[in-house]
Amino acid sequence: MRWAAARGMIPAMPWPVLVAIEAALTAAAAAVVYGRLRRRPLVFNTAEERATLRTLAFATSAVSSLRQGLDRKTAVKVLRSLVSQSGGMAAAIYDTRQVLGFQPAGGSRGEVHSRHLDQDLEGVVGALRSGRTQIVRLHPADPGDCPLRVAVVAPITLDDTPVAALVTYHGGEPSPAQLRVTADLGELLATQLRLQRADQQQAALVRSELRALRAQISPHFIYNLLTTIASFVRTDPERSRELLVEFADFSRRAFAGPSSEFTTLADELVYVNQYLNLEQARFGQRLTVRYHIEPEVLSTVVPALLVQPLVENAVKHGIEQRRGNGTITVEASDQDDECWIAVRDDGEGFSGGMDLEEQQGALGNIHRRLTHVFGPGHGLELESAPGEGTTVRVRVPKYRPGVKAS
Amino acid sequence: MSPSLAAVLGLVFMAALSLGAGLFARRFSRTTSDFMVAARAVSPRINAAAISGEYLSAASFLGVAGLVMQFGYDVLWYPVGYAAGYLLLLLFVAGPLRRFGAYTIPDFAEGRFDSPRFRHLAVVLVLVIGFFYALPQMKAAGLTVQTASGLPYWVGVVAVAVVVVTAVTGGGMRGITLVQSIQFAAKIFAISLPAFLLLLRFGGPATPFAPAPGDLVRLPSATTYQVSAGELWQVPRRTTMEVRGSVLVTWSPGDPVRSPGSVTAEVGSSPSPTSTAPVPGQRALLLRGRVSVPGGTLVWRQTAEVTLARGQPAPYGSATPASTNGSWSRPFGPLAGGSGHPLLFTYSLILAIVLGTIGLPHILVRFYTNPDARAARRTALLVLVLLGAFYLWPPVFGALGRALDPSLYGNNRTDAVVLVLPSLLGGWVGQLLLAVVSAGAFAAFTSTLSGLLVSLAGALGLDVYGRWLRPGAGAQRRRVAFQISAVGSGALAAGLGLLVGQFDISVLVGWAFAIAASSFFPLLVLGIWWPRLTTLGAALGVALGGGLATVAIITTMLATVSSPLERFLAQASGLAVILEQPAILTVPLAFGVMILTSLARPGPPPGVAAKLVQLHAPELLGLRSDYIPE
Repeated sequence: MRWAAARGMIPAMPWPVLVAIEAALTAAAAAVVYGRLRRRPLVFNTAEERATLRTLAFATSAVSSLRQGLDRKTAVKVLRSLVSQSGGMAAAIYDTRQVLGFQPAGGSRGEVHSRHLDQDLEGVVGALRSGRTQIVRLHPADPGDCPLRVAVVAPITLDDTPVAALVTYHGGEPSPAQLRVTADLGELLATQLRLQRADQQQAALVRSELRALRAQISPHFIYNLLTTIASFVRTDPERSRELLVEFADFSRRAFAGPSSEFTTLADELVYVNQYLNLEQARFGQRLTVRYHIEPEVLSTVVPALLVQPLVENAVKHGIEQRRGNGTITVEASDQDDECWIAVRDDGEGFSGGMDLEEQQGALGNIHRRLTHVFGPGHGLELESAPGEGTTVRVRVPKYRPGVKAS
Repeated sequence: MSPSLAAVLGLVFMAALSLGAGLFARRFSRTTSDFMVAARAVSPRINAAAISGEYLSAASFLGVAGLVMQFGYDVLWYPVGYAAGYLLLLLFVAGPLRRFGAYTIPDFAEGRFDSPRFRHLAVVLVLVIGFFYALPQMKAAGLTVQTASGLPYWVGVVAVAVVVVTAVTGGGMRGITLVQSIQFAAKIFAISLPAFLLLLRFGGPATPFAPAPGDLVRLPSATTYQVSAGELWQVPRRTTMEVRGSVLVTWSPGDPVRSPGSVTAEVGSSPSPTSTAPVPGQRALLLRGRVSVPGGTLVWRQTAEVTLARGQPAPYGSATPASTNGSWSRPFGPLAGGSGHPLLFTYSLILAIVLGTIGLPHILVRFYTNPDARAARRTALLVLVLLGAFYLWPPVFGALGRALDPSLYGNNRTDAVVLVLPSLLGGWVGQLLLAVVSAGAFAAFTSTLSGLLVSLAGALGLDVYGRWLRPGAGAQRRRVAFQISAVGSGALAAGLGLLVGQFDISVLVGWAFAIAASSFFPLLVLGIWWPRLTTLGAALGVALGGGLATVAIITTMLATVSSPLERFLAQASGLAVILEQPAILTVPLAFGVMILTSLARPGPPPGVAAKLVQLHAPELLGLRSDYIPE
């Protein structure tokens, strides 16, 4: 290699000098980075462009803060960016009982008003409850040095019920344009709140479906199992005791459910194994279970109650509803950045598809939860043909931000 | 050099073992009776063996021994650094990253900073590091097949690329913990057994390890060299050689072993009669029969067959600076000393290798298999132990090679020392051991190469295509994209592998480590331990550190084909050292940029507190309800 050779004849530069050069380079690089950050690279020329940008920036920031709901903290955040858009000398947000935040516009003397905010509580709340944009006169008795004379109250309604109001303050009679701006800003906030509520409802729906799924142990499963155990009490007391303990453990998990929305695949498979042990006690030789689990994916985080309902479904269609023996196969394989899970039965199968989006049972619930968490590409995939059995497949990404077992 | 049936059988055996174990692991299914999921989890012991198996690449198996043989003491930093990296991994990264749940480094980048764009940057760096790491594996593949079967270098590169790409696209060999742990066992067996037997046969360690310090390496037996036209020899002292027929040579004076590590300037420049400037004292000679050549540099103008008697000083080829036993066995010998800035060179090398381990894309992925952070830490600790046990042996081969077969210096084949030495035992023992080391070498480059190809194809097919270009692609299309990417990256790595034959395996690997150390190491350490790190700071640090390291290394590589650049670097030796071992500049640079940018423009990503809790809170804190709440 040449490099070893090339060096021999080179005049040596002491290495502390090099380290000093390096330090200088680091400092220079940092300075350049800092300089670039300080400079505003884009220049917008016309007043309209600037106004448009300001409005857009406001709308975006309102979106991000209000998506967390409306409270004192988010109210102040929204008001800070909103007050310059409102055209008034100050702005406030009220809920049905109190003021959540008050923000004077920059350069105005609006902050004087914050001292006697409580005086107009009654008027504002009254206007709020009316559900229409109204003008409220402030402290008619003694204005003192307060420059604010009039407030425009724009109620924020959810499901036709006013829940909050945006208030802008003006020194004199507000123009129709100012009224309109306040009303529109109120409507913008209302839209964001509706979105936030929709988010909440979606999550609540998914959670309640999960709860419903937990309680979905069918009564005839319990009945059949108990009669099976009863039949063992005389012939094999030890086995009946084991089955009872297993059943107690299984029902604890089933009723209490996992403590969070997600769990590891290993935990989920323990649960599946428990369930299948009980089913095997019922079906005896009729049911064969095969596992093909690659240990690399046992630590993958999956939605809780992902596999057990699929297995239960396979038992129902693969064994219960027909004569003769059946085999259930549970597979989990390591596919690069995803874990692929498949539950297969060799039962009757069915023809034609199934609309999982609308399906009301366990499969539909799992499908909706999967697409909700991992995106539309990751729902259940059903594969079946008459006489061929049925296979249900799931692809779970090994990592997705925000998905974690607790 | 002789083709050997036994060696080929060794290669075939190892290939069959890997594929067979892979199939066994995949096909093996169980019925319920003996099934316990918890018992099936990968234990830290197996996982540590698998990580070591995937990590011990051709650079460790062949490269370290070759470099020790060439440069001696200074090279010991390589095996020390390769193993010591896991100490940092154990202390700073393994546990938190497992708790975080991230599978790849881009996963961490995206999750920690909530920034899909940052993810793209990380993916690009994964590709750069992966390709730099794949090149030396390709070179090792070519070399092993060449030594074992006598086929040309390129055949080995292409054949191994085809085998590994087939295995990866077919899903046979890749990623299976059991296969990788078997490969570790194969490697440590294949390197320790021959070393042990060689020491037994050729005297205790005293013989090869304690030569007279001022002396040169002398041939232990009469040796015949086949030299081709244009080949260059450094003749350290007056040497008597027996030339068959008559051969034209160019000889220039100079003492190749003048001072530790420094070598005459002509060595290594491509010698062609038209381009080289006249060197004072250069002479064209016609050698015939038994001749005595004074110390200097000899360029063979014709193909020749030369025999040197026992006890003659071994000639050196262009790849290795001639050294005395003294400079070879002391710090700042030919490797670091040759740079002109031995201390700077050594520290930069240590930084790159120790810090780079953490940033290798195909290693962190394996820690995902651990069930929890505790298991991840135990795994890292065990890896440290296993690697320590392995790295005892390559330097032994290097030292034995210098004493037993110095003809490798003249042939520029020091990288093959592990493959060559076992046949010195002679007879069927030698053949058997040759088969064993060939199998070990095969395990080394196939396991690392398949791990790398999976990472590269994953980054290209699943990240660049599946998330970036076509976010909604279904399973089938992602699968196809992955396979196409695997074939593409395999072909590209093989193509580049054909070009890097002249670089030492371990030097190439060191470059991949330098890039990883300058980009992913600061990202992981600060990302895990410093809450105030901002997205912008992290991204700038990764881009600048990784980018500068890459540019520096590519410049060094270009210098071997561009003579103006080479002359320029020869003038500025300090710059040359920094370009060749950039870690000492780029690692602090990346840290500096990250910290300064984050301080200058504060604003950590949203939810950083929750993320740090997730990274650092022990799992045991997660309370479980053991009763049914009303």
